[in-house]
Amino acid sequence: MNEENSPLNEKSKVTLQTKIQAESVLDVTSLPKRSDNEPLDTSVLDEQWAEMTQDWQTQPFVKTNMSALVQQTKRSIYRAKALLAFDVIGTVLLLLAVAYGYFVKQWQTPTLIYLAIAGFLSIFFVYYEIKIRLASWRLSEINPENIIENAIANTKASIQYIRLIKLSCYVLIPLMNWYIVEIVTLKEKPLLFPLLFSNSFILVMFLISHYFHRKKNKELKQIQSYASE
Amino acid sequence: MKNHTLFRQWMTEHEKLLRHLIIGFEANAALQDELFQDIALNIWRALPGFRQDASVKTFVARIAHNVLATHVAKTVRTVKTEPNSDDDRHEHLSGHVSEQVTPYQALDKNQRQQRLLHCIRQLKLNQQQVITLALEGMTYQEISDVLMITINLVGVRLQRAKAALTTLLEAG
Repeated sequence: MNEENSPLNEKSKVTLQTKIQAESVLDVTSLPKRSDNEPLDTSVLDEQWAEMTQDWQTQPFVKTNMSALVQQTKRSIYRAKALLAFDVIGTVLLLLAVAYGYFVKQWQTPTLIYLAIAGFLSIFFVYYEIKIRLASWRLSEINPENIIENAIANTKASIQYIRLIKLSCYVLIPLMNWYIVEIVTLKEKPLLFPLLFSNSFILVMFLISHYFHRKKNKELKQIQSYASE
Repeated sequence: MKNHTLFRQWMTEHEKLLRHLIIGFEANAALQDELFQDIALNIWRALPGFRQDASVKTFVARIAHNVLATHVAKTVRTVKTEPNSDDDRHEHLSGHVSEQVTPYQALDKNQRQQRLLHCIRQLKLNQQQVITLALEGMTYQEISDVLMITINLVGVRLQRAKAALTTLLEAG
């Protein structure tokens, strides 16, 4: 027997001509009442959207002092460029000082070694600083499609910079202690205070860098998780 | 026209748009100011490279969205809960909600604006982007230009964003 012709299917074949007819066949009183979660009418949602648009566009906001904004913007640009220029000039001066101390003045060996290592480290710092600053100055060229990749690249560059600072602390501890011992011994002065001061300074520098290292790592994880969404 | 005169003109004309976009992404007032400053800085830098093939509004909105998307991706998404309270809201709603009025519509204007912002900040980044631009009254074409996606994709994302927003608004 063809199942489509089964008497069990006959009920489903009833054609209901009118609403009244339908209500008499289907016992509407037994149907569940309108639940609270029932979707709202489309016109109500359209009305809600229109209201939202109006609410959004009429939000109050604090007016900006445009003259102050222009000045502040100019200052920010000059400050960033000045800082970079200051670091580059500082590194060059440090290297010139080593050359001057070695060839002209014949400074003591500990001073020359100390300045040479500091100058060498400074080259790396300036390299990473230029890399980070250039990345942020290129922001106007990025678009929403590659913005997350740029943010990841910037954060990675910052992490490398912070690692370099932490690494320089490891290098500076023995180097600075050795330098202080050498110089103070030559001058026959008490050793404790200069040692305490310089080591505390490096420790504070290390702890601050460590804090930012953790913060940047966390940021990187968050950006990467966004990118993978 | 000199760059700083043009910058000042653009910032004055589009300040409202920028402030609205920022508050749609960030609840903290101090960070909102920082973001405004950051966007202004990037508009200043991008200004010399502006080509006439896009409208200034689209150009400014694109820069703002670049900065805001980076900010959202970087920070932990802490949605500030307004101290308003659900109690007040529910009290206000009781007796006012008819069958064809949404809970959102039953609030007063200030409460609606707070609620709208609160819910928009809970959306996904790509939903936040389309919804804030749509609420600003931008066309699909303009949104597509700002976000550099196809018009069809704008339609799809906006539809999903609206559905998600409605659910959040109804959830209370």
